Amino acid sequence: MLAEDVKGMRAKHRILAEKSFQVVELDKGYSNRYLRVDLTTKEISMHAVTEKMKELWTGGKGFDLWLMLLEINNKTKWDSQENPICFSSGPLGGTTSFPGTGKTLLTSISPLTNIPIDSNVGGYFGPFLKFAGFDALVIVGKSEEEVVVVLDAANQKITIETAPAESNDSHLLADELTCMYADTEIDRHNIAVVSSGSAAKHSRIGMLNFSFWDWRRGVSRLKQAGRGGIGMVFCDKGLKALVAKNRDITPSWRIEESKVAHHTNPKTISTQDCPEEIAFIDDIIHRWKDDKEYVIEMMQDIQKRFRHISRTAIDRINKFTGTSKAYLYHIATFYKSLSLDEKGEITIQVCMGTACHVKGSARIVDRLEQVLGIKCGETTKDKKYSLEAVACLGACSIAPVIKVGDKVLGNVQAKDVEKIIKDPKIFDIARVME
Amino acid sequence: MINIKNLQSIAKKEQDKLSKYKGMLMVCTGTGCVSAGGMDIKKEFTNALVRHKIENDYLVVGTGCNGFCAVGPICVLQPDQTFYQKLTHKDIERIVKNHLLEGNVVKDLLYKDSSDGKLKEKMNDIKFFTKQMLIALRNKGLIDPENIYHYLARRGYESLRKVIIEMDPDQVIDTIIKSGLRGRGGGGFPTGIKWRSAKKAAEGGIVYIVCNADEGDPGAYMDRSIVETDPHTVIEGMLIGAYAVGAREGFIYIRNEYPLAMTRLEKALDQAKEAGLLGSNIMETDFSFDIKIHRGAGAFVCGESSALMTSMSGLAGEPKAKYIHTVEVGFRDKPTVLNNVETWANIPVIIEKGVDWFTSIGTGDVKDNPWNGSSGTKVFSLVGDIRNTGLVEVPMGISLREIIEEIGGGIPNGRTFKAVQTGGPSGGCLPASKLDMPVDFDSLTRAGSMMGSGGMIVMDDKTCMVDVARYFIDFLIDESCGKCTPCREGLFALNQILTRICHGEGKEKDLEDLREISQTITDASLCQLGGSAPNPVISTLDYFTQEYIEHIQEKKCRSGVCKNLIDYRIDENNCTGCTICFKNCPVEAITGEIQKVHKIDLDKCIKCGICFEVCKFNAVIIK
Ligand SMILES: Cc1cc2nc3c(=O)[nH]c(=O)nc-3n(C[C@H](O)[C@H](O)[C@H](O)COP(=O)(O)O)c2cc1C
Ligand code: SF4
Ligand code: SF4
Ligand code: FES
Ligand code: FES
Repeated sequence: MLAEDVKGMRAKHRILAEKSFQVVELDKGYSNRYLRVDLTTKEISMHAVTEKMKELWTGGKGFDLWLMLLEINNKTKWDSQENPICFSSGPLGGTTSFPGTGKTLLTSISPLTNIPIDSNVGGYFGPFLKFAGFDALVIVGKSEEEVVVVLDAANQKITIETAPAESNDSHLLADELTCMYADTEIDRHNIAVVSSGSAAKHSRIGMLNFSFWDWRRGVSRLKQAGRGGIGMVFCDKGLKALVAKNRDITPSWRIEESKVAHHTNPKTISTQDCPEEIAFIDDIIHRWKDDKEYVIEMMQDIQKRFRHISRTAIDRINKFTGTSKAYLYHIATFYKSLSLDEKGEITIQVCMGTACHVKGSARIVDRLEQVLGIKCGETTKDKKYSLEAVACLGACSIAPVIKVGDKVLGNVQAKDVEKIIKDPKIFDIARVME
Repeated sequence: MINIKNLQSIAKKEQDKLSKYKGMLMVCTGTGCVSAGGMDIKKEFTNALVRHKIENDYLVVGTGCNGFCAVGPICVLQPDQTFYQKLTHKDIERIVKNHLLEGNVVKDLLYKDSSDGKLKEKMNDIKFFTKQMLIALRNKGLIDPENIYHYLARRGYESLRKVIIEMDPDQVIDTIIKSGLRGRGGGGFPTGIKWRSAKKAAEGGIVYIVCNADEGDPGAYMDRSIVETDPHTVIEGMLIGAYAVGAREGFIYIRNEYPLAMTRLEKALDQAKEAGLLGSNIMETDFSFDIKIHRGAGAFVCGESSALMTSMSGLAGEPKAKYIHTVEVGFRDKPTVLNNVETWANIPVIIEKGVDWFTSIGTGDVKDNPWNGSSGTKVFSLVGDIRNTGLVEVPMGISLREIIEEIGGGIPNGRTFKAVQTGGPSGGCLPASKLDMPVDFDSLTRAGSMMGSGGMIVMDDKTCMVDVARYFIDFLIDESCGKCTPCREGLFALNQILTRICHGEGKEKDLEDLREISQTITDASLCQLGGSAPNPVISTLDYFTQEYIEHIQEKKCRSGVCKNLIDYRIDENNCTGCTICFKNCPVEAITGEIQKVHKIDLDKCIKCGICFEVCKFNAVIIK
């Protein structure tokens, strides 16, 4: 999704309430305050977390239940004004010390039973709430207009905004809001969204989706708080979504500089419709006897012939072996020797194995990138060269090693790179370099 | 067809045939030598023999890697072992004429030992070879890997014959347990015990044999070499394993990056099948076993046992939880024995020479319990900043110092030793103070590293240890399958911190955070990739703390590696004004005239390091 697409949506927002706050550092897992939002009065307030509360009601569920007790009375039903939805992740929330410490606990009175229910969920909302300096969040009241509540730790303010133009359903809404509130593309992992969807408006088992930004796939991923139908309470309050924006945790170096950058590049998938090519693909598949166990080999052979795996190839393999298309794409993106993008005529592989690394292969990559004008993992525009970093070509004794086409060249130096690329008979270069 | 009766006479006949030659020219056609023109050397030898009409007296053989790749291309004249090195096309004629025809060794093509300055004529006079002990590599440089008869002439398939006629399967397993053989693929699990568990789990039903030739550790190429030099020893090992556990089907999972190894294996399998040594009714007995090849597709994690088997099923190679043991629930959910190439290569020798011989090599007393020590030898790829790079096979228990200083010939270019890295991305970096430690499974683990599959990368003082740690974490980020959070996100977090430190933006607290995150990754990851991933960070933190602190406090990289912390400059006293750097600088950052001191414009300089590389007068310095 492009930032432009969501700009228009954001322009339609009307801010109904705004409050600024200071982010506070945590003390032994606590910020010692919690946040309360009343959607009826649009009042945003902060309250103390007492020592007693920490001692008696330790943990996310404990806090939630105590805060509920403060809000409800013996007549409160699931759709009462005062029925709160409470969010907390406990003193360990957001630490990396134990599996599960990223979870958020939430409680409310359930539409299914009209008694309190708790549900726990992943996603980044709970930790971001904590990092903003709140041990819990309580939402009460009902808004007439559908609103989003934005907890923006980067700009230190909380707003209640109308959001008429956004999609209703989480799989779209999470992406929209993430892109909308992120300053840059990299900033997206600082945004977490909580939302429900159309189903939750109509069914008592409606759930809540908590998002996190998956930088590898470039999409929001959703985690569900499913127990008790809290999604329906959420809708009933006139809530469209909660958004938490974290203070930037991106280091000052840029993700593009890191080796993981290529994971975030979108792939283009091509189709092949020439009958001979399709026949060739089929032939490869039949050579492996349409055997599921050999789909990787099939793809390798196809890759070898066409320098990429096309949509058509995936479809054919699916047809003959029965392995699902989705899974075949998984395979095609999982293994490094397979590629959905078309590779160049000549692939230049630079060994980045340990032996080559200590012998300075990083400098060779830099030089190759300069000379070819492409980055590692890319192909020149004329489709002549592809540049790849690989881990160990198995010729470590003559490090640093590069492989041009199927020729292995050893003891390469950065200054030789230009010579190697320009020389059509690269084979002789091996000697020159002695 | 070869059977248990005629095997020995066929071998004898082949030995006689080979001994008729006056000599054999064993030309290395391993990857290292080929990249330096080895194929051409081989062809030229054949031509030269024909030119001098002695093609019936001498045999030219293309062998797998000889081991001493540093001085390739190599040719060894057998049986008298004359070792010719760094050959070029024009040298061949001289060897054939002077040596083969006239009996005069060509002196200037011999290896010169830099420590005593003497020429070494015979292979075994060279220190690189004398300290070695060959088991898995026993046939390296001695046979044509593409000719099964060469293998047979060196008592090949004799051990298979022995187990079939003399031993019952449980006896074989017992022998392997008693030999103390531990897996050479990384973990060091006793091989015999693995076989026994798989056999027990199979209860007489289906069980598979798999050879792990996925060799993913960067900086290691032992398995590749074994397969390329002597593929039949792996096949024979697997056959013996199959006989012992009762398997009928076996697989070799081999790395896609090794095309030569793959073709050699395919050839070897075909030849073995044709000779009746593989397939149904092996050696005309009722023992049947067949082997198929599965290609890897470039994923390090597929070396892990459960991921490997998932990948063999045509799926993405994601590991399964540790409590599922592949010996019980493996390939196609059947009990599966997975062993490394080198492990399999050891089997025929153990059967041939016996338990007493094998356990006399190595450390500890393993007869009652294979966990008590490390018997036998281990192949290492000795690479990095070391004079004699190559493959070495040494007895367990040898010290790191012996390997690095005596076999490896020490650090070249007047540099000093800083660290040695073993165990691949799961291993660690050991400093000079650990050099006298014996090399075996348990000592290495105790020191915070690992035996691993045998990469041994030597690093000199211009290697930055923070950068090395970051390098391994980068590698693992790429290779993590992404299935579990601690590994996927934890490694990313480590990368952020390490990159920050390398960029001179590190904070005091970073060191603490590195340890905390490392601990979490180790404790909470699903498979051993994640489980051992922080080792490179922890070991460098333990042994090279000072370097981390310098990066953080002084913004200084003493090894001159971290780009953001260094500048290239020209030392006025050393510069002769030769203009080489000026000509080579890709961005014209260097100015100067002939025979005058040159200067680097730091604003233009992109820190590519080329001037540093090309200056012959050590005038380019890193500040
Ligand atoms: C991430 C990971 C990568 C591995 N890579 C390899 C490898 O490349 N080659 C290998 O033989 N074993 C590798 N192993 C070890 C195997 O899982 C397995 O233990 C070994 O092949 C068993 O054979 P062995 O007992 O003969 O060593 C790897 C393990 C892990 C966890
Ligand atoms: S530890 Fe890493 S490689 Fe292993 S299963 Fe988990 S994510 Fe995959
Ligand atoms: S290469 Fe070295 S000696 Fe020659 S001009 Fe450059 S700095 Fe001076
Ligand atoms: S590390 Fe580069 S070839 Fe092995
Ligand atoms: S490749 Fe020839 S000695 Fe290793």
